[in-house]
Amino acid sequence: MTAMPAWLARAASEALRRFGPVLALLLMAAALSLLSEHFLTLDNLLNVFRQSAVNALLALGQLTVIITAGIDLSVGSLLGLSCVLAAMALKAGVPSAAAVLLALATGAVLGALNGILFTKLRLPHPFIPTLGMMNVARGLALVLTGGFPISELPSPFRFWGAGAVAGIPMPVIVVLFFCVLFHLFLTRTTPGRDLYAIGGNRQAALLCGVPVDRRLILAYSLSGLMAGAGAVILAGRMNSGFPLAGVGAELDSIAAVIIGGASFFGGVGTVLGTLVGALIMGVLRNGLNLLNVSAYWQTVVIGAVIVAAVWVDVVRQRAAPGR
Amino acid sequence: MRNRRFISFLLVMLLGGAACSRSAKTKKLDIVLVTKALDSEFWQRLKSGAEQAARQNPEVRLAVLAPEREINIDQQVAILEDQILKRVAALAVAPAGVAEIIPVLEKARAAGIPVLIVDTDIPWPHRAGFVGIDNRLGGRMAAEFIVRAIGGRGKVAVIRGVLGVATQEDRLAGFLDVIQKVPGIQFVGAQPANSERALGMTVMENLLTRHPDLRAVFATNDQMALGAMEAIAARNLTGKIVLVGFDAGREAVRAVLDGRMDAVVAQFPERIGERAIQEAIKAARGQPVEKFVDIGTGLVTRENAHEFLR
Amino acid sequence: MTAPLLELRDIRKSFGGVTALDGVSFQVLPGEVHALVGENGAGKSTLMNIASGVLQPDSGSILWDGQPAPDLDPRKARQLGIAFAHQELALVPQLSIAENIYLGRHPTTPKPVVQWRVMLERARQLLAELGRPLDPSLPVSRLSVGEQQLVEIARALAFHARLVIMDEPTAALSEHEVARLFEVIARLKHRGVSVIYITHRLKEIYQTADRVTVLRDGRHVITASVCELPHDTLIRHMVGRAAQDQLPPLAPPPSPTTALRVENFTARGRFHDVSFSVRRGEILGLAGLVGAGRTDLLEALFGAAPADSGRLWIHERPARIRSPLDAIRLGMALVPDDRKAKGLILGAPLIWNVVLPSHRRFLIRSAEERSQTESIARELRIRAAGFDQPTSSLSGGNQQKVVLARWLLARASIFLMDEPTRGIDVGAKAEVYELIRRLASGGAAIVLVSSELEEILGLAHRILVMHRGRVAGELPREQATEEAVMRLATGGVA
Repeated sequence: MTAMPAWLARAASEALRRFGPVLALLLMAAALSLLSEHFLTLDNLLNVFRQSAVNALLALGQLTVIITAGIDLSVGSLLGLSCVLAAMALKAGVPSAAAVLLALATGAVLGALNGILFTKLRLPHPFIPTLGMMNVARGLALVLTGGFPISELPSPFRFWGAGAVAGIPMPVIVVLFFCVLFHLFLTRTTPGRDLYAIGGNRQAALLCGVPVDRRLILAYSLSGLMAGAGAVILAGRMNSGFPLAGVGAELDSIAAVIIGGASFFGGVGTVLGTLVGALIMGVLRNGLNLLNVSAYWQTVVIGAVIVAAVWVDVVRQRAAPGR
Repeated sequence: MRNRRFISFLLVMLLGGAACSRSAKTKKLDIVLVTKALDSEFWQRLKSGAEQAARQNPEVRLAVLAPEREINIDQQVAILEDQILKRVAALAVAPAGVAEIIPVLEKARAAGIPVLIVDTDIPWPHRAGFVGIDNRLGGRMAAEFIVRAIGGRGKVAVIRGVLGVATQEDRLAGFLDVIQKVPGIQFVGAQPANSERALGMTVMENLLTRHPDLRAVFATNDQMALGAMEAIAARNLTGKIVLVGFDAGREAVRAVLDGRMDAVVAQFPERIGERAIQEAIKAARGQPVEKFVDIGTGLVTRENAHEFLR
Repeated sequence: MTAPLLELRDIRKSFGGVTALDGVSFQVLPGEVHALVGENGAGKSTLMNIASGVLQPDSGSILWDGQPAPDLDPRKARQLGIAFAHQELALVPQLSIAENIYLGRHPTTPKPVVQWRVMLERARQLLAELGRPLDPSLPVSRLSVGEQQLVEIARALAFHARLVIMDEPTAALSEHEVARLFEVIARLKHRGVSVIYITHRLKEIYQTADRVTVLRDGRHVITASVCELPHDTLIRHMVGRAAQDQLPPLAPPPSPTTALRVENFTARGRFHDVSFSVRRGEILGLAGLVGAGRTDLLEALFGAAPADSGRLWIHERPARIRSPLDAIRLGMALVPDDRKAKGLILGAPLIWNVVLPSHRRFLIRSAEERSQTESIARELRIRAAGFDQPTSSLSGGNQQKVVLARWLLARASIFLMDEPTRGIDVGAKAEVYELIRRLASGGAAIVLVSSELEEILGLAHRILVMHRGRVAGELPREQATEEAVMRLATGGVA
């Protein structure tokens, strides 16, 4: 490749892996602040965080699953179903706190079901059960509501999505909270490390005594839980539990995780990277909105960014193989 | 070194996008039209009507934006939030939802931006005005045509757009107003197809399977009607089932002329767009705005179709 | 003196800042079997990759049949007649033997239509020539490893190769299949085809090679005919120091307490009615041909594969093992036969691979893990750039030591070892033998599966021989000879 000494190539590769996404984000922000006077204002930045919050939450759950070399295609539909169930409960007079718990529980339980189907039925790939769940959950949401949105939700519930504390929007606080939680889980606990081990080499992890099936069920359950959390935020923001909530959100969550530097083959990925990945997507969409660029072009740009992110990772791997 | 390439690639994309909008520092009146989507002729014509109005007022700078699909309500909210931040002079919005959109419209009001509602009305008391059509009347017109065409007897179905949206509800309601009064007609149901062509085709196929003796179909927008038309043609039933659409875009009108569709309720999207921007400009300038503008509807049939193909 | 078929002159090659080959010259005569030996990292693979066009040398020249062959690439090399049968077999399991042999080079009519019958017939002929008349339409996945090896060689011959490079061809073969392979090599020699034979198994060189070349640290040490170079001298050249006796002295006799007892252990289709016991401090060798069911047995004992029936006693208490976690809790350890696929998480830092089974508390204690890893690495002399480095960066011998370190840290008392010295260099092998002996004298019970008879004969107190999933017989050390073991392994009676 180049005539770079081996140690320098490895150091550069590590730096790129850790800071690549952050660098990209900062550069993007710098470019946008030059192109639009509105970008670097407090109001706009808060907008960006608010708009990226749901994706960031889903992406944290997706990260957990992708680390194990899996994938969860059902998060968008789980979000929609949780949204609808919470809204229906609220309309039936259930207190807001209970409705929040209901949304979280719906996600966690159905997520666990994904994990159970994948492990106990010995399915070859998590694509299969999560694809099935994607359709079942979406269908249920539509059946339960007849297709109609359930609107006008009580304000204690809406607070999570639409409220603020000391000027900081609640979605931001919720995202930061879960980021810290997931970071600690993945880096400081044995179950978290087990997930990386499973993604790195499932058979070897099994032979080292890792309870693989139990951990996988946990990973998919966490992914579902985050879908429930996203549902609460989204319903609060939209003031409505609409059955088509979250359509396409699973792809956005996967994009955020990949842009953030995780590998599809498992064993690699960080919370910071994922958060930055979600912010990169949010910044791109927001920046292009401010520049009055059509939504179709935004999709093209995001696709290009995903390819670029994977390409950078491949190049980095070639320069310093093994990591 | 590779990072540099990636960054410059990104910058090129961004600058390319920015080229679509000038950030000149002249004193222009920024008007933004946000529609539900731009994926159909209806919205494209509404957009061109709006651009026409903007051209007649040189101090106006118009931007037309929309989410990728009509069902992406949260994307529309994000677009509106970002435009409100820019303190535009006025907003014209075709809302993708009701309760979902009102909070962000309230933000516009708080920022002092007048908001005009276009095409789909919503029960928000602080709107500057409404420009659209009487959708209920349009539905009635479609129903009357069908009743005449099938001689008052037979099975009839409706293919409709996103649930909970006023325009679609009104068209269906108007249709049912007339249909339910005719004893010989059996209404087999209204199936949603999200105003999308592919979904319209699928829904029509399923309807034909369940009701092989279906006599007429009303699709509440052109895209779904065109999709249904393909499904009918695939089973060689063209001409045997009465198909009525809504919007009267070029493609639909040509289909009526060719005999593949029977009638279309005409909106005049260019006029809607043009009038909407005219009223928005008035609102931006602080002048009084018309509270309710009905652009009017017509019915396109084989006889008068050529008139609609200007 | 006949002119060499292949000559590499003064080859130099570096990767990054590391010199892999430092002016190596090497020749192969037509019709000779030339062994190439050296420790891991000596440069054998690099040299052969250059000879077959996969890599370009930084300087030096390649001559074929006396003519210079500059800018060699794999295609040109193939056209010249150089074929490389790699250690990791490059076969497509779902395709048939014939299709694999002719992969990418199918016989076609002028329009590109594959001539199936021609292909099958030619494949049949090739296999017959190699002494194994297999049905060429069989999918490769159904063949044994030895047979797959043969297909790889047939592929080399299909295009009239004049030189076949074999990289560790016997690594996954039983003694029986190795003998077959030697027959094939003899046939090749008879046809005038030269063979370069890379191996760690020095005994084989004496059985099949004419000359041997030793590389060490990227340099050529010596080339001599095999009869001129006795075993110890050969090792000395490879290692650079006087070879100690490879195998350590026998471990002391075991204690009377039983550590592991197995009765009527059965898994349909894999092994039947296996019963044996191992005492504390005892090394039980498990011999047999490839396919006898030894790996399946060990994995089932460890809870990694299901068993249909049977009973187990661990330290004289009945036990139910349903998962590796159960086995580990009872003090068992498994050193799997394929460390890359089953033994290690290659992308993970070294520390993880060492501490994973033993550190299972909810919160990770980094300082503790690091210090324990450091001390065990020192004890086992594991050479690594750093403990956070990915385990893939270690050599084979060090990787295997990591697997052993893991179980030492977990304080295992019953070790199931499956081919623990496969694919590691001479120096590391000696260290592993020493460790096995030390474990036994410390009271651990060890079940040792190996395809190298001398390894089992040198280490084990007792030898159990398996044949087609059943225990064929048991031999105490004094009665164990190669013939006796072979007889039981191939289905005869003791």
